[in-house]
Amino acid sequence: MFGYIRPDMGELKTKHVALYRSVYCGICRCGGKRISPFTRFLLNYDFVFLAVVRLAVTGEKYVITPRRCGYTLRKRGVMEENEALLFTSAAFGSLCFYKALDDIKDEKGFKRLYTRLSLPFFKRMAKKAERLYPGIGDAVRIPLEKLSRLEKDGCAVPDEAADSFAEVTANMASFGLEGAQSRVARDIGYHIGRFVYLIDALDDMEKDEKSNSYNPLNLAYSGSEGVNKNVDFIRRTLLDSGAAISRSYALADGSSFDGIIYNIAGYGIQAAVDKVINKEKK
Amino acid sequence: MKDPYQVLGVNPNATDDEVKKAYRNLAKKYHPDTYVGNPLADLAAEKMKEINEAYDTITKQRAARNQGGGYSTGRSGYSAGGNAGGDTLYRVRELLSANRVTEAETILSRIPEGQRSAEWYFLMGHVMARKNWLGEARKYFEQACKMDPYNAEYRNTLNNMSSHSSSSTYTTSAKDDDCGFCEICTGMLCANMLCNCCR
Repeated sequence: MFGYIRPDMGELKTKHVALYRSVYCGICRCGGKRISPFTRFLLNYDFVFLAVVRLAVTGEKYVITPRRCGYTLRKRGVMEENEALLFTSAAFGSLCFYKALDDIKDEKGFKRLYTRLSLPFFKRMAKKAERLYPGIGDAVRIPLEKLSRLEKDGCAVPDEAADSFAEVTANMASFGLEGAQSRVARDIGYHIGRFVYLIDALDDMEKDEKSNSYNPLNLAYSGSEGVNKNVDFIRRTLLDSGAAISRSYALADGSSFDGIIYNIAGYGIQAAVDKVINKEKK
Repeated sequence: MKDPYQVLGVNPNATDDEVKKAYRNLAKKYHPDTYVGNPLADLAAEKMKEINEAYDTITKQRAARNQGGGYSTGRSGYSAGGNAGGDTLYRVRELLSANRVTEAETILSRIPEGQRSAEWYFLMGHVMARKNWLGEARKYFEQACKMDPYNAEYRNTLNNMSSHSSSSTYTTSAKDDDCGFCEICTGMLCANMLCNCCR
């Protein structure tokens, strides 16, 4: 479901590429140490963006140290553990657990068995996250339960279904923040969730149609053929979320992450949408 | 109060033109029109106020320093415009500006389908945009523009939905347009070179 929100590396300055990679390596290291070694394998770009947004909006100081890890022989700049990285790892752990619970209800066959077997590991991640940030579990669980109800009722308004998932990412982005910082982070978080939910629905429409699974776009446009006819409108509304992220972030910009965030909101999101529409391999 | 030069992001030794340029860029970035229907519109308005005050302070300080009489900023100030329709729709506009979105939505949905004007679709689009339901908002704004194609307010709001912050270097035209000014210029240069070769 995840991994759509990433920068267009070709358009990024070299210093921003290094900074972005240091955040990625930082979460991987911090999550592996403080939450669970599994976060290292499951980590995706959407959460790196979440960490970047929290670092940028809060203006938290960070330190980058050259380090080696098991995946690269060469030393790489790694962001040392800080509040934003620890929180992102915790939020990721919590979401993995509640998403797995949801998948067990929805999936069938081998996939269900596989999720059920990995559930104890996810539960441990969620427990650790809750211990570090009390209330994070509810911030994820409540909107996910609402989404589950909507999906069961066959909600045919894509924005309404996306709203519940967006609530999860909005809660995560603004967790523990206050005032204008919280509002800006919340709005950006909302559009991350809305974009991820809708682009995932667009990506999976044919698979869902075959397996007769819930897909808000298939329901709204009466099947994948209808979705293909309206693909221009869907593309525009997905890009609108990128524009909304850019406008919201403009209210809190001025950090060293500006280049990364504006790149993702513009080029990155457009590249992701076009990749899905043109059915290119990820 | 913050240092006005810091607010505009310019050096205190900057020339009047540099200050004006910085002010214009920021005013464009936080202009209320860019944030119409956005849940963070009030934050943008605060930023705009801060920028206006900083620019006013700097121009006043500099005018006093130069002892030039008849100071005037020559700036009309920015505000989000809006014209009122019927009584009910006027009330909806009031509710939206007071951020009472649910009440506005209830009033709008009470109006029967046959009586829904372009303004109704425009305001419903606003309600959806406030809820961040951008797909629904776009549908309503497009319908409003279809019903009243010459209304600048509806057209601008629809266009602003896809506009990025002016700080962003991202522009869709750079990738989407097949025939930009650069292509025209390049074409003309090539034609000129060919003509020179044929002489």
